[in-house]
Amino acid sequence: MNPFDTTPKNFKLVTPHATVLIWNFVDRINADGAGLNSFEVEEVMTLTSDVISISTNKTKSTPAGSFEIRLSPRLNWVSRITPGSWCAILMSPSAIDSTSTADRASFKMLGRVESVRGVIAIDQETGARNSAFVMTGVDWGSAFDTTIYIDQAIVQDIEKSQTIHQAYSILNFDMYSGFNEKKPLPTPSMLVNSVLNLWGVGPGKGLMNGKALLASELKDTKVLLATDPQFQLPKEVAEFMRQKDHLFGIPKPGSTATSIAAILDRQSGRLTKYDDPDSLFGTQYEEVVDSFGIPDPSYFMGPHSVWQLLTTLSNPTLYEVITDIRWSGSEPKFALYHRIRPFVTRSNYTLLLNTLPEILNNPLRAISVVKSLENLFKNVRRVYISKEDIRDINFGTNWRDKANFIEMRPDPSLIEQNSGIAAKLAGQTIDQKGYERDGFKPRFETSSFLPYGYSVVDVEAFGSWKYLLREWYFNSHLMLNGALTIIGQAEYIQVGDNIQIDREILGPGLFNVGEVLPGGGDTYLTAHVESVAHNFAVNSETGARTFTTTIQFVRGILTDKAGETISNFFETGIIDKNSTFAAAPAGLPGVARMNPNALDFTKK
Amino acid sequence: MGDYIIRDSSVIQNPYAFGAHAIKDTSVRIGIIREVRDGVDGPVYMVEVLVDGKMLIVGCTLMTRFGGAHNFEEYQARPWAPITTKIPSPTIAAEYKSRAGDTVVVAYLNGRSKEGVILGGIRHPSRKTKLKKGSIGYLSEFNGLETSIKEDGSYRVTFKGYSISNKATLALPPTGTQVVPPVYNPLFGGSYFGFDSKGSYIVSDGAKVPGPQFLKINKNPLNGSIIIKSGTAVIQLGGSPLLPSLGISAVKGVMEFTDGKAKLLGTLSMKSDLSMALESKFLSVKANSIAIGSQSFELMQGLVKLITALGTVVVTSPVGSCLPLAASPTWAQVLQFQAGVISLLPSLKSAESFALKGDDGTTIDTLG
Repeated sequence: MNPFDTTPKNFKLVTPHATVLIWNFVDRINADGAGLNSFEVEEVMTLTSDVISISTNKTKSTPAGSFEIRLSPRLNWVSRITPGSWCAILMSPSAIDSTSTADRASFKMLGRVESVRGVIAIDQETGARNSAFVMTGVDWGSAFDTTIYIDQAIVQDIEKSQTIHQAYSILNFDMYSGFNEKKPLPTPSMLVNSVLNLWGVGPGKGLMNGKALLASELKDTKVLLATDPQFQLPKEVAEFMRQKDHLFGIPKPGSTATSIAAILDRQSGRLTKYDDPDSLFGTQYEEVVDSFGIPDPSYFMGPHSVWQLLTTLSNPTLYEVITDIRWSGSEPKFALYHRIRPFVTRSNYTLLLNTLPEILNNPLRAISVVKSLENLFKNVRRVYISKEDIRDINFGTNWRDKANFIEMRPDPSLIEQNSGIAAKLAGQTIDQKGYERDGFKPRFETSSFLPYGYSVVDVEAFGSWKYLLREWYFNSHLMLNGALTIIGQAEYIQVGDNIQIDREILGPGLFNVGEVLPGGGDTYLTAHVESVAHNFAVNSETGARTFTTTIQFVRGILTDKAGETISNFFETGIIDKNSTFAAAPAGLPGVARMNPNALDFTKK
Repeated sequence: MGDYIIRDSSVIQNPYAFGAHAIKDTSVRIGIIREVRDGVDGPVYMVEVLVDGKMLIVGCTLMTRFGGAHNFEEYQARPWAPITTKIPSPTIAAEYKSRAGDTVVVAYLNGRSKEGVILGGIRHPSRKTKLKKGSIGYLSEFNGLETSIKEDGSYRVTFKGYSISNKATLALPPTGTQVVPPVYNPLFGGSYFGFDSKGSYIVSDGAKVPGPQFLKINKNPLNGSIIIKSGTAVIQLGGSPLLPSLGISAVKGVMEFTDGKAKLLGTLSMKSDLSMALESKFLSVKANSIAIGSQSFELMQGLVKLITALGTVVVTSPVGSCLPLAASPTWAQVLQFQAGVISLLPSLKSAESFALKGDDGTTIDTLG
């Protein structure tokens, strides 16, 4: 099919709408305190006709998205809007029906206003005075950029003497306690939870000689710590975001503000089935006990951003941390993903372990380890974007960022030095042909988190992680990355989700021999969302409204509707390893579309 | 077109997100030991370290000597008394008290503060120095065992014992004033050994009452000696390389050389080249056999022969010659005495010569 075909089926009539809701803080607060309840907001401001343009952007690698809204000079918005106020940005290709609560069909971003700026310019030819106001800010994920300040120097000496309140105690374990007292060494998931618990503690309640401002006592550990102000949602915002008490169905937060830490939706581990946003109870990530770690106190003592702590304690070798709004049916969740990277695109890779050049002492063990950890690409949420909505796309390969050598390096403090060489060799894997042709493109992964078995570090299991990393990093050059601009969507698209578009958008010609019908049919490009940017604008001359979304994607592969890879057996990406396959005429004899699982002996 | 490549955040990490992860501290830090714990692999010293105004508690081990299975060193020290009473906030500068705990120098392995090594210690300001100002010396104490090396090179290890009487005082945390030194029990403490500045060696119990017992090797090329003294009893050996002497002085002396119950093997041999004198108000010599004499004449045998010879004596009287005395009917009584003397007859032996043996059986002279 010709993607530039201009028959009417490629057109779609939409009437974009956009609304900005602002819960303006009444009290702007100064250093002398607040005259009122500092979380008291005015009646929500609904800005529609004042909006000249809106742009939002959110990327997977940083917690905070950002927005910029241009407003007409109907009011002096600089004085009208209190910086720090919460706002919601709604955009839809159709009319926005509901502004009382967040609607999956229009909600795009929950943010905080950082700055409102008047922009006035005189046209030098006409003398016309052009005025506008620009409101910029960040989305709710910026809460993770706040600083958490942990310092036991705050503790009175008497309290220090009761027990050593070192950093480990703060995170609910103590590597130096007697064996009987020892709490289990923490998994990455436990540590992430501990940080979130600390984050929610907040500053002290009173002010006594300035001390209680910074100090707050944790009930269990008696550790005094100080946090930056915890992010709190005014109750009106929490109600808009449908934050309810799940046990009793009572709306939260009642009469008080709600801590984001308290309403976070933890999604930790991996998916064992498709993460369907419309399932009745919502699919949950399943926790995995993959490793244990003793983080360095320097990581988290003193002031650090919450995001840095979460990343550091997440076992970043295997895990990624993402935050975004996650819809479960019609319920928006403040999600924090702490998940194993979902980049295994074929389930039969373990069949090849015995053919690898490195020594593999126990292939069955290695397979067992990686199978318990793998998070399949096909299980990640997909948002289908119809071809009529696509305005432009660029796609291509990326040979530059591929790796051909991986070395898993256990943290030297967790492993006996005399097993260092064995551990090193067990943790190495190479793409030999890639190395010979492209030179050395190494990737070194030092992990402070290691599997334990029989009370010792399980070097063998740790080394087996490399087979997952092979799948993630060695074959990315056979996948597509690019950018897609589409007509603004009603459906919320998360960073870290997958998008799915019709294969035919990519034009004619084979990508791989798994395609039954070249350039058409029910094949799809399924790709991983790296960033999402929305743009809404009102044409100053015509008044026409446009709403587009640009999605940057990586790791694009061909799949069927269910996300199953469509390629030859053992192929890893969208493009076949053998370049002559893609050049071959369609319908090669003996080549059929396969479900890789059909030949996955490990599943029999 | 390279700019079109979308950076995969799983491949190219966001440096901001990993900012904390990259932290390493390769500085050597000062810390205060707060506690000692029994770790899985030995004692762990919990050291409080201030880094840029924030406090870390670092689990530390001690540097030790090493050298294979046969050569090692284990070391575990006692922490200071923990603070047990709430210290009020200081209101004036002087109230910033000295804190409890040994002050140590700490380094982190691999720059990671979860693993510390104590490189050494620094004197805590609350403990008064004992060495005099300007003096070059060494002084250490561990569990009441004091080792000192003075400026003149004299060396002494003194046992003070850990039976201290002011434990309760010592258990108090330092409050900025000088720490009271431990008070030891003089009945146990005070023993020492060491070298003095002239190279003499002494082992002493250090008792002041009634006076020390000691062994001293008095180093002197002209009159070096070994003195063993206990109360008023003294043995002095040596004194002159030309005329070495052995002197023993005591109120009561007992010498017994015996193999125990059997009493069969004990021997004593005394020899002097020129003369030997025994002097006492009462002298008693008791033996199963006794020989007194020289190489040419033995007194006991002489007595037997004398009696026999007396028995042959013929007395000439005015009425003529008599029968020999042995013919007398009462001569048998004389013979009884002779038999008694005969029973004492031994063979005359010379005293053995003295030969000092080393531990391995070789003579000292051959040790070279």
